[in-house]
Amino acid sequence: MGSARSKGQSGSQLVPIKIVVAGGFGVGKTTLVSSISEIRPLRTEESLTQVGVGVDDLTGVAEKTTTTVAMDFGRISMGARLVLYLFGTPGQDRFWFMWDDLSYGALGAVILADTRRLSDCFPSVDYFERRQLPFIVAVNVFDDAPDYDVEDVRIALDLDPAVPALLCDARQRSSVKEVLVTLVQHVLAADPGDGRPVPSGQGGLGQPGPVGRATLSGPWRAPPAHEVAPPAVAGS
Amino acid sequence: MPRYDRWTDQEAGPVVRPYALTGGRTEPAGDMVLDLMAVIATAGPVPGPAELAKLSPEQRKLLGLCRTPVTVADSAADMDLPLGVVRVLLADLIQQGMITVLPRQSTRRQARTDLLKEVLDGLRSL
Repeated sequence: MGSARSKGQSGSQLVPIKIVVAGGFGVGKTTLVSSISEIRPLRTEESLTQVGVGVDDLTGVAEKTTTTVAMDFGRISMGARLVLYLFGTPGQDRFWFMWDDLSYGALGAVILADTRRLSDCFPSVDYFERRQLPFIVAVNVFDDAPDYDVEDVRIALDLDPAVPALLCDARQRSSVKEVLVTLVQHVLAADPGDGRPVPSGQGGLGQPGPVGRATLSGPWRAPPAHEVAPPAVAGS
Repeated sequence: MPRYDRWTDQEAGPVVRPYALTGGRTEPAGDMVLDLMAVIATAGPVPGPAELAKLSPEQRKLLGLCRTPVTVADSAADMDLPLGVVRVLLADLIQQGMITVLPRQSTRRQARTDLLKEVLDGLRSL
């Protein structure tokens, strides 16, 4: 669709790669993204009739038909053609409808955790496990947070042994760099390596179809938080 | 005639409801939902003044942005319009053959592995 006048292979001039940064509200996602990349503002205005049922309580506000989400994304240019995009997921439950849109075609995800509110990242772990998108857990070390061993965090989150977890300081560029390097190494290690195209939505560095609802897994039909499946059994 | 008079500040939002720019449509033409990372660029013959006159100022601005390939996410950020609105406007321009979605890189194993290694090298050299 719309590709009849495609400019041949000129798409290769720009190769966007997307990484999702998830975690609870106020865990430092924006701090992490801004520590390492150029920040760009993105607004979405979505129709509640499509997205909000079961998420937003519309009682008494039936006339309100759209909801606005202001979010940022980070952009890191790497050489002439490669551009890395970092998308933070909106932290509040009511913005679950954004998650499919944000994680579609992503290379992988970083789940940022705060040891003071570790349970805030349960939904993120569930989501990426269910979506089979490679992810790592980065524990943002806050000054007043209790000292946690990464292993304790792994146990608390019931992480699969293959999922890397590390401590980080979202304010430090070098620390964020290490987090991203860890994620890409994890994705490389988990690469199917048999030439099969990667299923859409799974660590996809490019999907077969660029447009059309059929090629998406329904950005406006993301599961409300309460419908997210329980975590997969760790170690399976 | 500024289209984005603000009542007070960014928080107050635009005076024109965003979907007024799409004639009230919230769904892109042809159910065409563009991925945030889709790379788009102008296509077809350069539109003449008569063709341009039929477009809205926002569509003309989008066409200008797409003279060099750009991602949907960046185009929405550049337009300072909600993503959903930009998707509707882009779908119209794609249907008119003025903008196209550029083909993606190969998903074959070697290309994918090479790309991942390139990302890794890029990160390490930051």
